[in-house]
Amino acid sequence: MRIVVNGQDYQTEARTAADLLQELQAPETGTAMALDGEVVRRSQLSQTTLPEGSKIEIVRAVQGG
Amino acid sequence: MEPLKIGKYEFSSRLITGTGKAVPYPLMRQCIDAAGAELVTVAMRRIPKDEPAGMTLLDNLTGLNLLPNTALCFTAKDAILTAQLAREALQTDLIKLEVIGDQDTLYPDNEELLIAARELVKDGFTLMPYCIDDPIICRKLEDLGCAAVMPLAAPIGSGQGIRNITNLQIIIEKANIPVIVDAGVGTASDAVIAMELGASAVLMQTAIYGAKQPVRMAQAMKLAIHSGYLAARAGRMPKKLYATASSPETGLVEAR
Repeated sequence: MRIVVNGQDYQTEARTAADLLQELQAPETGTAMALDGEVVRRSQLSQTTLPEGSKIEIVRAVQGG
Repeated sequence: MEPLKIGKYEFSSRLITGTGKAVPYPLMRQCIDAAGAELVTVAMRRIPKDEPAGMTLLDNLTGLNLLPNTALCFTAKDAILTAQLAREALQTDLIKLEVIGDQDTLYPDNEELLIAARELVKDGFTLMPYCIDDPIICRKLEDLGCAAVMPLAAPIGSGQGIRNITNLQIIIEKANIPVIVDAGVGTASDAVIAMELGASAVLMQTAIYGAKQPVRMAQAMKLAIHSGYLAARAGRMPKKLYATASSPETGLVEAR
């Protein structure tokens, strides 16, 4: 299935938001995901399925002022 | 110093620092500790494709309260999503809201800022918006339910010091929420002036990390904040145009 992750086309086997985070080896703490502009709550990650073509943002904290 | 109250939070330090931009983590932590900061800002960015394993930023910020920002968001929409992602990632409702209007000045876009502030307050955030040093925008942000306002002293990263002292004075006099001077501070005397004017706190990044000796500057800033806080409450003497002798005027020796 093709989705867009952080602005890049991405081919994935992941069915759920939790699968995708695992596939990308994104650390669970300090990371958050938005699916088509809506934040996915941590408790909902494994129940949230990813539709074909969905736009995903995955962020974490970096240094800044 | 009395604790700094922001919404439901209390801090004993009135110096809020950034976490540097590409400053090595150990130096960053040394600066934060030298400044005595309890609340530090972080930015939120997309995860890179291949991040090398090792100590993360968060591993180096243990024991501190995080203040995620929406730095370099140019629309209310982007700022709102960034804030919501930060809340989920860092499990905090504190947000330094920035909605920028121009790349060169990094001045806030007042219109977008108010839209984002309204939405995020409604969504339950403890909101600390970075804003222009304008009493009207500060009043509007307070009326919307922001927990603090953070007027700039000068453009971000410019180190120019406080460019409009009288505006800042009016903002502080009129506000019923903490006024935190954010951006533009260059050296310790700027921080003292901000605190003497009655600011509740000062937020800085480049003034510390851009100094030749950042840890020493962080110490200077800690002392400056404390010094300005005490001076503001001590009540300065009135200014006079002419001199007043500070030694007795009688009993003077005559040589002839």
